[in-house]
Amino acid sequence: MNLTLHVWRQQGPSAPGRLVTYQAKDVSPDQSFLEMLDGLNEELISRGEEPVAFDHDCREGICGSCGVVINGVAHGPEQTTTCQLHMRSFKDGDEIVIEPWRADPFPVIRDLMVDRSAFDRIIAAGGYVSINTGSAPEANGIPVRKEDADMAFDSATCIGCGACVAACKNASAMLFTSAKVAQLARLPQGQVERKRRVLNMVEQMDKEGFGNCSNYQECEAVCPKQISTQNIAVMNREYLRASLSGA
Amino acid sequence: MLPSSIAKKAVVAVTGLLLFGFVVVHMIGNLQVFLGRETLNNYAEFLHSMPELLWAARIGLLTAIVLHVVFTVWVWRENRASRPQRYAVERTIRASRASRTMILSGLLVLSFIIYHLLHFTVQVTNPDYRQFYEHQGRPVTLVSYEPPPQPSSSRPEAVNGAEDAPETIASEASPRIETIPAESVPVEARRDVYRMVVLGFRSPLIALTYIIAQLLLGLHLSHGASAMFQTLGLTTPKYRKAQFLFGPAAAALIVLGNVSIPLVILLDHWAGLGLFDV
Ligand code: HEM
Ligand code: FES
Repeated sequence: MNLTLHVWRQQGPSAPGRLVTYQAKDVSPDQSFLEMLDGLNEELISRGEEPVAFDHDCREGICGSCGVVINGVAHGPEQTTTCQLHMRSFKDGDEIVIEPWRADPFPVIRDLMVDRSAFDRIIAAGGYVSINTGSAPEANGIPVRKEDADMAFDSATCIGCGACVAACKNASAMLFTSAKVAQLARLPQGQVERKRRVLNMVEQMDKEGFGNCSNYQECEAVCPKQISTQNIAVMNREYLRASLSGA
Repeated sequence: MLPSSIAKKAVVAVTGLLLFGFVVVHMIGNLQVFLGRETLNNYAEFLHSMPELLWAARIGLLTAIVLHVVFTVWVWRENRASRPQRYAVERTIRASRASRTMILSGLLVLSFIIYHLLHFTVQVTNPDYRQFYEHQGRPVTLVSYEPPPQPSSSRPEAVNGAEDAPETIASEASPRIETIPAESVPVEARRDVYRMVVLGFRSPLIALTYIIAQLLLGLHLSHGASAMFQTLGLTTPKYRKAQFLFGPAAAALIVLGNVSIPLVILLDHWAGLGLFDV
């Protein structure tokens, strides 16, 4: 099939950007979205033009590197990562607008690539459990209720792609931050730093310039791992409890 | 230190919850208009019989609304600043229309609240309401009512306007209503809130204003009354569905209850049914 692409092109963080139109010819419905972009890039290189820069790594939906906004939806029409989106979701003659994640704390590095190190700083502010390293502990050394383990696992499936921020009308990072807070608050290992963690992570999240949560639910609707906004309620509860108890 | 994003939203949710509670109580109180003059005027007299409590409630509500507006405008501005560069194409998948228009519905409700207070509480938009009294279960109109002297004495025409008012009232009120001089008002006469409400909503423009405002409030609460559970961290996996249904359901009841008052009064007037004795 043949498609018309409108791709955001931007030389660097402070350069002005614009949408540039390209024709993608003979695209196979079995190709992934990123393979379609690879095809476009090969053609651009053969014409002596700069290829379109976009992030990717595993290409199997687990690393969270990839992610662009496709026709106004983060990761496009299927609720999965951009690398797992297939061209069969489009039809011949479609026009596709491809833009980078838009958020003040996610500055564009080039074209479709954005700098997501704000997420790293949020995790570094408390999204971990401090332990003495050594050999791997016995798997069942610390008993965890099945329900808690399941819920913690659901939260832990976040791959940090940033689609929640990209989709949120407020560019809020509440879903990302809350997934880590909720995961560790469920587990015995997370108890020691429980209050400090939520206070510090939220402080960092605010400092980065992400928006507030207006309960739109747009984040949950695009999350490739279907992280629930219930995590946000848990983080609000954890935060309010920690502040009120004077941690 | 500035409050965090979550603390700011908690202020919005707590003040929203207070206002929501007030809206429900206010509606139940006002629905007594359907029970007749006696019931509604008893209720009004009861509320005014404890001025300290009344003023405490008024100050509390005023504080709640000021905080609610200040904090919502604050988060709204921050939210816009978080995405300085908009998308060329932006689609909405799940966010309700109500959730995306909270600032608009909120500011329109605010302008309505200001009008509503000027209309029924301060009565500056319709000063003739100040002459409505009930004496021994019957409506009376004070003819030589003088409004308290205005601070700006440089506007004598305003005072003249108020003095003219009795004629207007006398002509539109039913002939059964006595007009008696103010000095002869017996001590046991009390304000006739019932007549004020019924005559007020016989004006189609006023009734329409109130109806539209209630629809906007309903829109605001259809999102807000569910969102407050999330914001305060009160949603639980088990009751999540019900909590998300709570907003739309509560909003529907509030719209139904509040719209019924102006609507029934106006329709009754147009149809000449005489359900309301003024
Ligand atoms: C009777 C009056 C009002 C009631 C009962 C009410 C109730 C509520 C409730 C319950 C919420 C949900 C809080 C949350 O998100 O957790 C809310 C949110 C909101 N209210 Fe109101 N409100 C009223 C008036 C106003 C006014 C006058 C404004 C004017 C600015 C306003 C603007 C907002 C906005 C913008 C939000 C959403 C904030 C956000 O999530 O980003 N409200 N309101
Ligand atoms: S490239 Fe790893 S998730 Fe898409």
